[in-house]
Amino acid sequence: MLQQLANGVFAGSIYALFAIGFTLVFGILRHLNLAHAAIFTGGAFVGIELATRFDVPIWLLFPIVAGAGALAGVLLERTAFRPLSGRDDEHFAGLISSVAFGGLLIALLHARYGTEPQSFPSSYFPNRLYEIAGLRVTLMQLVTLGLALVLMLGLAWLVSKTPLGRAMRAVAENPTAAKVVGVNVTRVTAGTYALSSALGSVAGVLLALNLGQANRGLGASIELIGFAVIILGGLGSLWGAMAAGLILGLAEALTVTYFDSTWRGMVAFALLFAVLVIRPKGLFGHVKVREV
Amino acid sequence: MLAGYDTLITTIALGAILAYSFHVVLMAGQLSLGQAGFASLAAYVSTLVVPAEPLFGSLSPVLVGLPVGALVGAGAAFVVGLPVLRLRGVFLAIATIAFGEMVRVAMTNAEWTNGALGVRVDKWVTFDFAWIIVAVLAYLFWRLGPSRVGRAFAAVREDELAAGSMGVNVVRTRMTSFVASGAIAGVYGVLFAYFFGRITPAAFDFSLMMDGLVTAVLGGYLVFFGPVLGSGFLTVVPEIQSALGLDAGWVHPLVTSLLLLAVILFLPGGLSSLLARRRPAPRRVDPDGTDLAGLPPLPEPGTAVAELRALGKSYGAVQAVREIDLEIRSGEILGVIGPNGAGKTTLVNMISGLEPPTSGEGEVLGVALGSNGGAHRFAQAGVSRTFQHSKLFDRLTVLDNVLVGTHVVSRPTYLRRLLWLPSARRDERRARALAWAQLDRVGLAERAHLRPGALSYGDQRRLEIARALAAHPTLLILDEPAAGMNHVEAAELAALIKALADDGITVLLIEHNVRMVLDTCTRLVVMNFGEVIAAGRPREVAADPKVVEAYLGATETGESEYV
Amino acid sequence: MSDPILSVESVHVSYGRVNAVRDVSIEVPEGGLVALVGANGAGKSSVLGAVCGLVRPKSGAVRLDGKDITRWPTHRRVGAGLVLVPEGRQILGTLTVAENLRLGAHRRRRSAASESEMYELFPVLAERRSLPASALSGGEQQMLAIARAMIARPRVVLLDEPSMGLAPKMVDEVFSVIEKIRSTGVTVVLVEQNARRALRAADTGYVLETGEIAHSGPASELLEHPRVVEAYLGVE
Repeated sequence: MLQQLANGVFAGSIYALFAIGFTLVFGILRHLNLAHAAIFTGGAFVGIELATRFDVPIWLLFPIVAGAGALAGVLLERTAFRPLSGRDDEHFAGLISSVAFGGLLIALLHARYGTEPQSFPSSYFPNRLYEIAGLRVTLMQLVTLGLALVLMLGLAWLVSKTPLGRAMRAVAENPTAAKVVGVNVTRVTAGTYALSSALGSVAGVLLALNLGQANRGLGASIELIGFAVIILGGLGSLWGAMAAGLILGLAEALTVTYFDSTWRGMVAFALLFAVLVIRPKGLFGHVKVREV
Repeated sequence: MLAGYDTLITTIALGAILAYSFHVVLMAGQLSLGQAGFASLAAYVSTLVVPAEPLFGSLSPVLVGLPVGALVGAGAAFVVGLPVLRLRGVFLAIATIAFGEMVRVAMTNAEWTNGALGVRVDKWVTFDFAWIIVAVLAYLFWRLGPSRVGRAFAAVREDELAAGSMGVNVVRTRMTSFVASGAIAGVYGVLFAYFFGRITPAAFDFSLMMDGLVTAVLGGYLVFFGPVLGSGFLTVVPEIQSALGLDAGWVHPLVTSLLLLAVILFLPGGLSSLLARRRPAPRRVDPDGTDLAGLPPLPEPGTAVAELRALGKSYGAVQAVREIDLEIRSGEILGVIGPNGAGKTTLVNMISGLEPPTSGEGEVLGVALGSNGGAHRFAQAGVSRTFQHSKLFDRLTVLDNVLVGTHVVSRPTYLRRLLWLPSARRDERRARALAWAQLDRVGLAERAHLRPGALSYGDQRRLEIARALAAHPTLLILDEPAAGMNHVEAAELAALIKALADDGITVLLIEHNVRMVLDTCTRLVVMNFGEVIAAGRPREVAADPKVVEAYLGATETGESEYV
Repeated sequence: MSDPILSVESVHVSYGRVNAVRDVSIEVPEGGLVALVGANGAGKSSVLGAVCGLVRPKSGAVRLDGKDITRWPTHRRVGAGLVLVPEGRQILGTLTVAENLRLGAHRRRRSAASESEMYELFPVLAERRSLPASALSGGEQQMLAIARAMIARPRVVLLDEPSMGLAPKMVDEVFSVIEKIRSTGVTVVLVEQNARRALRAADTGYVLETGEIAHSGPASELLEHPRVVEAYLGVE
């Protein structure tokens, strides 16, 4: 039981990391970025490529993957979102263009890696097992949890304390007002995508490390969880997204324990559905809902 | 000739049918993505309840299954719609996605569905059958376009507030599109089952929703044949690639994604915008006497049209309107003036049912302020309005904008249009005659075929007035109609307003052009800080020292020019 | 007279095919107070939008210190000292008063004034510095919007309808703040629907009508001009 809970926390920390990038873009720019899952998958493949081909050590792996993710994010914003800005159907068209961008990315991964799952070298990360207070945890799980926490706290600090974060919050609340006070909205927008995608790709490589491998469907398996987390957490609420990620991880672990693994998806969506209908602000949200 | 392409052709048809279930919600501006769930429910229920052998020896299971599936889909959509249609935009999308996933998980775990393995049925759907269904749907949507409900869909898509103010029941219109979407998705589910011969929960997953959405948007949701185009395009492009020998597995998705990106970036109306030919200027329908007969008479001059008692409205700490007592009588032209931010627009928003008051009470044409139902109830009672910032339906022509205005004085025509009944033709003709009459009245008949965006600022204002007049209003509310007009235009507008009053229409006019207000109004109300600071005959009010100070501006001697 | 600090040269603005502003030219001398008046919909906000980069003019030029800034994005203009106090105040309600001020200094971090200077200039804000800005009254929000612009130590301040929706006492206060700003040497462009008030405060005035400049000249003359009086001032 306790073991299941612990596993839930580890899974939840990856959900949270994935979702926090998703929620960042939605909260600040009101874009629903459906390419986020593809970037997540891309992060995993880039990580595997670096590890197998170039023997990049793990401590260097994360920054490089994050950098690649940030680049992809900027590219995504340029091609799929910026050209639409100001159009009547901006938000709506953004859904489709981000699906197209995601499809493009996955097709390129397909071209490069074929259909076979890609694996990390078996000795890439020491497969160490610890017993802490009767719980069995792997070193990988600890690293995952630690890294996820550090990144999330770092992001929270960035958003609440730095000028960039203040500018991001200003854009989130009122883009015109932000412009008027001299915020470079174009740059903040690009920066938001870069941050979001960097987090997403690191989440991808973490999941791949935990599984030991990755295939093209890696992102699709977690994409729907992203929706659930942003709604449960409250749109644009970072702390909410973190908490919701962990809660979903725990809830899933409990469902698997008490019901059957096939019911796993139900919890997230039943919760999501209920929250949207009963409390559209989300469990933790206070951000005013701007309609699209 | 088609031998060997059966599957391909049927796939196009199925894709188009799925896309139609998205088309119908997109037409009404709703981003609903629960169709996979409706299709799944419909497919499972119909394969469960419909016998595998032809009924009466000749009715194939798919024929029996289709109505069952449509009913299940529509019913499910209605039940889901009750709670989720309070949401809009992306929130609606996510809620409906969640519904679809819940159906998928439930079907995987249920006993009667045989879990993930799915259910096997006989294949009954042939390509000609599938295309008959497509033809029926295309027909339904073709006839929908220029009907009353079709215009209501378009109006809700373009601007919900304006649609409601024109008497369109926004809640019901959204629900109608949602339920229709469920029914079509149900039809798709049944066809899917009897075409592939097997259904599994995984067949109706998130990627199916995305396929349907992409097909509908790619084809274009403003034209009735969009889904067929979209589906044809998405199905044929991979075939062409194969024919060219580009067979690598990744080429298909790559090319499809690139094309999709190109279409969404460069063709906002989808593929059908390439084919939709330029419409000829609409044929003019002249109002003859019989056409316009049957409009209800306007009330006798002097009858109370609106009564407000201690009406107030606050937004959080800001009190926009406080303690307003006002009576509007039939036949008058009531001017409301006051500085920007004085609460004039909030007041008329309450009178037209767009916002409920937070204190006090009032009644407009028999409808109590703050009662449930929203703006369309006020419009049906005879209140019609324009907006300070024009709220025109941007993607409709000038004529169609005004036709939406006829909503409350015309009868539903869609079902009769499906049967080509002459009475539907007559009713549409009458609506057109009414619309043209309004365009004549404001002098826009020449521009009937344009889109509002192509009109000058002043003409946009006039178009809003024509749209409001098309509803044959008892009370016409004009919110700064002369803003942006030059002196000549403003003088013409003043003449028009007087003519309307002579026809018996009661007018409430918010305006900053004091000269115009003094020349046209029979009574004047001055507001400041949410309160009425003076009311009465225009010249007397204009001379009131309080008014002079607050609004007209005092001279050095404290006197006003308007005395 | 020296070269104008800000000039608008035959600017056209259109939305879609609708012309909102046609051939508008305005000169703003350094240290001056220029009023732009006219009815709602006459194009005042479009002109301001073109000046601060929120809308791109179809043709014509905007110059600051003789430099062509027509294609500069808004933030760059703010960096150069051209700051707008927008219509409807547009303060950030969920941020505190202090954060709103800090945001005002965003683009000019080095040259910006300190928060405490602003609290001296606007004492009412000092007491409320840690409240969310949405908790302020309308007049206080207007003061915050002005302070948020002033903290950047602008060279030119553009005020769009600063008196809108305010009680007369607050309107008086806003205008006395405008006087104060002006006395520190900052150039002011004032867009007002309250034409009399604006022209009394200004040196020069421009009257916009349906997107074109109908009258311009020294404000005192416009106050006496019969056509202006008839259309906008309603006296004598």
